[in-house]
Amino acid sequence: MYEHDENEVLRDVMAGLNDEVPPMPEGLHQAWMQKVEDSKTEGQKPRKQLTRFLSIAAALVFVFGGTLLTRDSLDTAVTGQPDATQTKTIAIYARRGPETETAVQDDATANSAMFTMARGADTTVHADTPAVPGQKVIRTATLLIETQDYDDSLAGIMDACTQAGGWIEHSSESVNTYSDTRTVWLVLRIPQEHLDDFLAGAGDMGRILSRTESAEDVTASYQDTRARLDTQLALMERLQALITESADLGELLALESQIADTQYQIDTLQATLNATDQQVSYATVTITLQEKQTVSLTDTRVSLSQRLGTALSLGWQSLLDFLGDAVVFLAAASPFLAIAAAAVIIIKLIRRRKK
Amino acid sequence: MTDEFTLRRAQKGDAQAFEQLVTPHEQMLWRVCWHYTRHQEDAADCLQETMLKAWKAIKSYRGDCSLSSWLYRIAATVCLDFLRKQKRLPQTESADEMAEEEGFTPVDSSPTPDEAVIRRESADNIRAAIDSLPGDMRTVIILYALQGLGYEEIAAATQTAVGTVKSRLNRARQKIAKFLAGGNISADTASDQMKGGQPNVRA
Repeated sequence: MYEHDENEVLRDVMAGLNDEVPPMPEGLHQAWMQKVEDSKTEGQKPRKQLTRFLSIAAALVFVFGGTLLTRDSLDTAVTGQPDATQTKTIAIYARRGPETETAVQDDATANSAMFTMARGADTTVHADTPAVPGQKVIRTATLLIETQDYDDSLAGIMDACTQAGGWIEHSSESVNTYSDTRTVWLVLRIPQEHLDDFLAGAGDMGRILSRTESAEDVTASYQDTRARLDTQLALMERLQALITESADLGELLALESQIADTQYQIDTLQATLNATDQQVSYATVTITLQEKQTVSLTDTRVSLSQRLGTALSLGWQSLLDFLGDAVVFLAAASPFLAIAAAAVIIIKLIRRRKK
Repeated sequence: MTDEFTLRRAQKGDAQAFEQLVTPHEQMLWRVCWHYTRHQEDAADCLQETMLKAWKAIKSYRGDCSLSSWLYRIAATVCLDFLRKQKRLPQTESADEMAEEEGFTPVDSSPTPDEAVIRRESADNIRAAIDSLPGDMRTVIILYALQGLGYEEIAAATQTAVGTVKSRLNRARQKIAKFLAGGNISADTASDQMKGGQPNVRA
């Protein structure tokens, strides 16, 4: 109580100080209200702008990103075919000697082969025909050729192959729908003695962008296989002689089993030698023939107006394609968007009710 | 009582609702600001800053204390910050005084009755004595003696316990008495008085 009374003294004595407080300046109320209003617009404007900007950015990212990410799968789902941006294999044929068979070459393999050839562009190797008689050398060559007269060049290659006595082991042709150019991937087998002539004539088929040749000497392994075969043949002769002389049933059975094993070895070794002989006799030539785009934006022979027209046309077509893809994407995403919109509306309603 | 609806509107960013809410406390805040600064322009600046801070912080007001206590707290903080920037606030109290605030009561070494000393003094001297107080004591003196707030209200406004408020008030009273009796609290304050000027008052 004492403390309370003493503090009361403070109130008594200082009450007079309140009388000295001047009246609040006129306009102070308006001044702080103005500050409040200013701060309101300062704080909210950038936030509103930021929110608006982020919303637009999110929508654009959603539509663009979604379209770009899903266009392939949606196109495939609708058309059941690969996308137009990818190279489509339109003609597949292969010929092996007198027989004809069909093989399917997928795009991935073709692209991979082209990539390998492109990589080999700077490592061109010229292999010579074997000089030593009996030497076994497997020769391969890879060519990347660009041409404007695609059909003539392709026909030229086919003729040259036939004239050289070779055959087409594999062939696949594709079209790039954007640049409207064709590419053919050929695997030819050319008799080794005519390989150099064939390759020399390749320059006439178009512009050679890369050329790679290699030669693998397999003489040692070939002779080794040949020696093993001779041994097995000698063994077979000996076994056959033994079986004619033998009269014991158990011995006969053992000899027959050994003859079967030896025959298997002979067949395997003979097949290896045959395959090597064929690889040695017929060199493998892989040719990628690309059709050169006749109208190019970087082609100086094309006038500026033509280039502008082409650019506009391509741009317009791309825009239409994109818009089409975007519409397809939005249609595909519409169920998800509907669910998201319903969720937002429900959350907003709940919040409003709580308030 | 705070109008709940008006408060909600203000919290949602309605400046008119905010105005409606705080205008009844405007005069009271003006007096507080003036008692701290004792300068018309400074008090006006502090009041504007107080209102701006209150506007920005109104969203965080949860009604734990009365709106007036909440506004007092903001005004006290703004004014003390202002005085600190102007270097018009004395150093904080000693360790003994801090310990006392925590509940330890030192032996009273001044036998002089505070009441008698305080009652004798003129308004100018009392004002100078208030100016010489550290920030926390000045706040409780202004709110208690000049604004007429109770201990609980001050405790709410300063976010301290009632016991702390009473302790601060008690020590503030003793310091004022000591100041008035000639035993000035700080060297700065003594120096100001020697020069005949009013301590901590801007020209």
